[in-house]
Amino acid sequence: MIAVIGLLAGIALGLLWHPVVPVWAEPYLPIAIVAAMDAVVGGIRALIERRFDERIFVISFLSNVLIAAFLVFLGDQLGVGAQISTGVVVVLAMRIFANAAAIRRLLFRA
Amino acid sequence: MPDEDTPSGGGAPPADTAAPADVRDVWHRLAFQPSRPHLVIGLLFAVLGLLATVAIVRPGTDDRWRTARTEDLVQILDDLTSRQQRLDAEAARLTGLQRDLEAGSTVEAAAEARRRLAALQVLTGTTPVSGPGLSIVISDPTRQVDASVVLDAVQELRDAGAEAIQVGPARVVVDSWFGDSADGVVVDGQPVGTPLRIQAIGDPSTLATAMGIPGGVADSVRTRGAVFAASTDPSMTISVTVPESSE
Repeated sequence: MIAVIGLLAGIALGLLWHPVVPVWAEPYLPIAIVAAMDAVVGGIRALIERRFDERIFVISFLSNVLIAAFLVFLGDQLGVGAQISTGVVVVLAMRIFANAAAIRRLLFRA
Repeated sequence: MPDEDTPSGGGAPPADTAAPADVRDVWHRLAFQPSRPHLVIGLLFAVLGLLATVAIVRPGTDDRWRTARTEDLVQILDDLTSRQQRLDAEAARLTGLQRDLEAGSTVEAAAEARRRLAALQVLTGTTPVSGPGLSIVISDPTRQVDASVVLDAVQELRDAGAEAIQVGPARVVVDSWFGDSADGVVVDGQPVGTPLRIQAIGDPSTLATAMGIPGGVADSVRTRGAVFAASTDPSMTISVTVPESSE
């Protein structure tokens, strides 16, 4: 419940505040969001499988975001920023889909 | 992190059963009680919501480029590049022209202008001309040679490359005219006199050939009962000039 509250609070804050993203951070924003979504979906799956652990969730959330951002940064430095961004997004999306499929199976037996 | 002390508390019991959860159980789990790790999770979700909102609702900066497809952007870039190249080439050309005009070519420009002036003076008859040419004498005691024959002769000489022509007492220039009068042919209002003398500066053999072609001026004069005589001259001078216009 507090997660939903936090999410709504963040959305409200973003809508009301209109923060300006620094230009250097723009490539990392979508990657960070997808990485965080991966952590969230993984956490939901763990929750349903009754092995959810806050500590693991928090660490995986932060490390996902940081590693994804670092990969994009590294790719930018190597001159393959666009490709590595695509790769990261593809891998994370695959994980999201896999976790979502597991959730679906667990919840609906389908 | 103080959440170390709640490994099994905090609404997340260890996986005691591997049995699949049912839906009610999941909803129950989602409704945890607030505790410190939950606050951290809530904070993370707040950050996620903030980031997502910021990423989706960008304060509109130039949607035109943001939403354009890559191919379109490449096309636009190509257009701009080629346009820049064209303008660069134009600028380089004009810069070179400016440099040429500024640097030293006044001498060349003046020399070119003088050459053109000399040529135009010859053509307009404002300067005496000397050089090789053809001298024609037409003896016409019966006055059968009229202005049209003289005009034909002048046209033929011009076609043959005559630089300057004198008919009788008059220099023939662009606005010369020929007419018939009681005293015979007149050129620019002056009688040509008898015998009629025509002098032309130019390549003598070319001029002579032009006069002698079958059915040409010489034949035409002779069929009218006049005597046509032409002689080339390696050096002759036409000293009659037309007064320069004061315009």
